[in-house]
Amino acid sequence: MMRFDRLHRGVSALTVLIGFAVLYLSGEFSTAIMGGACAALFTGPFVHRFFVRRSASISTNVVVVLTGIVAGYQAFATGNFLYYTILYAVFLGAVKSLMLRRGGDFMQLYALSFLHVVAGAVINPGLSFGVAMFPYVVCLTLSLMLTNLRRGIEDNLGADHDPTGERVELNLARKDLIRPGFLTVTVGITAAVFLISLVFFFLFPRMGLGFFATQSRFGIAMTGFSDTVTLGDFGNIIEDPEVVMRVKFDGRPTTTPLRMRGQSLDEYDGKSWRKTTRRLRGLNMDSKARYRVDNNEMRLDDLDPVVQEIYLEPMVGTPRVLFGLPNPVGFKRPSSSFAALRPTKWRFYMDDAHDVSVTGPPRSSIVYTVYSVQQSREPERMRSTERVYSDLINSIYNQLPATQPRIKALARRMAGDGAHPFDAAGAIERALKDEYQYALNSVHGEEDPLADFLFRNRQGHCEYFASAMVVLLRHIGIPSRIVNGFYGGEANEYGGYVYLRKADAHSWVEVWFPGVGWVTFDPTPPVALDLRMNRSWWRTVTDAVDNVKLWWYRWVVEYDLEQQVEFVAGLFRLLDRRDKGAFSESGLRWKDFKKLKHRLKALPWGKWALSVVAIVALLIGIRWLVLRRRRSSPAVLCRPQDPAVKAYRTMLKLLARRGLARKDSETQVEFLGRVVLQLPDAAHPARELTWAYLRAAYSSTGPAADAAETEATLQSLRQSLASGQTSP
Amino acid sequence: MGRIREFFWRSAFFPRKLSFTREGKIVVLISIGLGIAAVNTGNNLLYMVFGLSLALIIISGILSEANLRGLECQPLKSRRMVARRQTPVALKVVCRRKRFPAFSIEAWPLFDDPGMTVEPARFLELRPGRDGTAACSMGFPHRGEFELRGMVLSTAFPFSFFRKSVVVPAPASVLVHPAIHPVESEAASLARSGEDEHRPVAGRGLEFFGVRDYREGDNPRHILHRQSASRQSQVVREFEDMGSRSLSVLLVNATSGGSGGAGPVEDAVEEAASLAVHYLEAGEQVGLVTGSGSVTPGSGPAQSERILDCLATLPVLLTDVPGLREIARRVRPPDDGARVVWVTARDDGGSVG
Repeated sequence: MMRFDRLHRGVSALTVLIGFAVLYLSGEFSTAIMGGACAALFTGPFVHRFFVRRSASISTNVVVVLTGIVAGYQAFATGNFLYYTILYAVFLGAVKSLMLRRGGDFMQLYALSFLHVVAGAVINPGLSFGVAMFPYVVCLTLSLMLTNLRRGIEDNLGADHDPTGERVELNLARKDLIRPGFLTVTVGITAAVFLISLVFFFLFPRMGLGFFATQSRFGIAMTGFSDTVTLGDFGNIIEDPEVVMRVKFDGRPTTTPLRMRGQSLDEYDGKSWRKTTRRLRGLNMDSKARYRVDNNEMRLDDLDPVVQEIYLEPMVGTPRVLFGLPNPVGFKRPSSSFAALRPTKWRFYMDDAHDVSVTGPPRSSIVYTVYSVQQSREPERMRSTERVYSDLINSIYNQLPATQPRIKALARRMAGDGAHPFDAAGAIERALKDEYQYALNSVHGEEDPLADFLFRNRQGHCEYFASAMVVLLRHIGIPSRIVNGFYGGEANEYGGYVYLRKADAHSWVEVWFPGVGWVTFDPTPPVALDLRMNRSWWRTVTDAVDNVKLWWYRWVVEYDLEQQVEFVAGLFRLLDRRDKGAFSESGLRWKDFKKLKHRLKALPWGKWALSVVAIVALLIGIRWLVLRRRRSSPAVLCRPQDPAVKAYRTMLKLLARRGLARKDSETQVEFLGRVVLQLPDAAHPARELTWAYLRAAYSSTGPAADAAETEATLQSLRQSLASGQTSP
Repeated sequence: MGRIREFFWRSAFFPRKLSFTREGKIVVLISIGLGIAAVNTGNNLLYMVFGLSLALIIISGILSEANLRGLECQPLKSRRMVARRQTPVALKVVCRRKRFPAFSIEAWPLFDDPGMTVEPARFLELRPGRDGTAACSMGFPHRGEFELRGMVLSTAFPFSFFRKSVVVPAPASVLVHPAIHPVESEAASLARSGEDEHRPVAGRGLEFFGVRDYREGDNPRHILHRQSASRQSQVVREFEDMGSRSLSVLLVNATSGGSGGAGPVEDAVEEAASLAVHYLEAGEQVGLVTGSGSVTPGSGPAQSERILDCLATLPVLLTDVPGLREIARRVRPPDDGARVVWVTARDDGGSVG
């Protein structure tokens, strides 16, 4: 067994440390700050005696106040109130951990630690918070219980009157204070705290009044998906392993790599790409609440689409572009019986380039379903397409900056004269793949980066390859556009989905073929893509972590009223498995509640009957609780009431009836004197009963009075009172 | 607020008494703040921390209740205490549970008088089926009869957020004796120096008193033969009556209602108690005569209790000056020749006369 004091200080330090870790893992605080706080935490047990001195205590208080003033000033000066408030709370926690002497000090430290965790809940919504919560609950519960024990010891030993605290310290150093029973109780309590926390978490109504703010998450910083993309932007994110999207296929085997199309860009100014087709129109919804991208008369199901359910992380700095496999024909929000409870109405929009975006909170994830049809690239069919393009297509997708003759010559060389656009596009794609090299960190001239890539450097990343192909195609009059999205992905065996990282961001090309539509070409060398998809040896671990992370985001961070009602309905379904009559086969629906309510209201005297049943149930419950409490309530180890005491009280009543009441200021003996004077006949039994009472009431020793004897004396008194006369 | 708390504590309608500790108040405030923040922001992690704080509060309530179950407290054994002095009393608590121990239990007797100071008996752990004994210290503000309402069993287990208490009814009375002070040597010597009203008389005893003529029935062994011979008549030795060796404390427990109110009489009562105890400890026979009753002289610890019992509930009589004289006349020394010590109330405190 460990020494009590050592155990208590150790568990307390761990509790505070977890609070610090939650803050540190948010990434908002530097290692130096949190390292200093941790150093104070572990120095505390060795220096706390120093702070007993009055001078040290005063100095510390002065430092705390001054630091508070500085933190307040900084908060006002920078406007970053949250950061400086939390920083000050960390400072207070570090200072307090140096001064832990009494149980009260520990409680203050836990309060600060709890505030650290609250702050962590605000600034760190990641999985690390969830991972930290479990040990935090365990440590906090144990710490609080140990502190309770410590305070008991301190109170017992009169620590208030022991300035040196030596006696208390000696006792706290004992090893026998913690028995196995205490640890068993602690484990049980921790489990109960955890369970009740979860119940509260899942069942507390998510009203989300949002007077001051709305629920949100920190989005992933992402470039390359805005309306204007400068050449080279992707190079910054190409090695970032953060997961941005998870894709689940409905009933089809999952194959990688996936090409998740995002948005297209049409106008090139020599340095950056811009989207000019910004006019948005809402998508029409079919009978199954699916939004149709095209105006095809065919039913969506008849197109045999590939159905993908996508969980898209919130992204910062990009419009809400929806990703999906190429040729999307429909989009849908997850079906729910309680969709009416959604706080925000999501709307799907499509622009002139058929890129689909969505409105909604910018800093929350999106879960949606995409229906895509597979592209047909049969050469015969492609070669049979016309070479004539509409003016609209020509004006948008054949736009070029100042034409450079050498690029045009290059395009002709690569495509070959007179070839069909399909063959020309294929030839340029192959040429770029074969003649150019993939490189992440290649440097290109700022004046004309594309010319630099094509004629000087001859290496670059996907944006350069895709941009080069589009410019080359447009030089020979083939309408084309650059498309940004993700390519790659790794299958997660635990979750049954494919996840794509920021590093999978990719650019490719779409070429317009009249009668067919946009066809995908990818000029980036495949070797480079294979290299990018290399797996690290701990893939299994990362897969499991990502699966937990997905669960954390969906069921904890983004848990909302809709999910809550679904969750409760699920519980009802579990309880109601035997009787499906009351609810539909597919489970409890919102309308079922309404139906039930109407049925109950329609019953004659239904309300009254329900009220009576409720009241009766309440009364039975209260009665049961009272009886249960009585059965196990604490009791006094008391011998039955002494017959002498009982008899004396009866005597007082009898005498009071005869007009001889004992005054409050009168002692028993004085009262006896009055009785003797005024009721001489009753003097003897009254004397006997009074002395028997005094013996019973004030004598801690000796046997209790004999019940029979006392009763006989009382009877004698009754007879005397019945026959006797009162003296004047 | 104090009155409400007092009512709550006295009320039998609420068998469980719940009070917040300082930390408990902070936790409740934090929880309320968290709840507001969570509802306002819709931040689920705040809901999670809010859930944790509520869980701690609920578990605290449930466990404190469970911690008090199956406990039995021994009633107060001592029925005599001394006023204005912390008196330790041993309290025994039995844990009747079969499995789990009880932690951090406090026990104390609950009296009706709000001026009482009670330091509870503390039990760190009461193992199942075992009992524990700890000292509880009580301080009574004044003498008199105090009504014991019951025994309180209390716990702040497990988190020290709340203190839950149960008052187990155990009605009884405790007689609180007046405070005993060391007797000033001057006062004590007054009684011994003869300045008190010492009137020795003949009677049964051991000390020589005088010589008188022989009467029929006298013990022949007491005849002084030499002196009888010289006087030509039989004389016998006479002994001083034992009563003359006793001392009566005369206390006028009345006041005409001066500026000090009943205070001077209370001081006089304490003075009388102190003197009585002092002489009894010195081996003398001491009696008590007051305006409201008397205790016949006696000696030993039992007599001490008798006198202190009488003084404990001695009323303070408030009267006018004639009434005061009448009461003073009633407080007359016994006729057995015992020495007497007068203790009267003065506005500036008790005095020995």
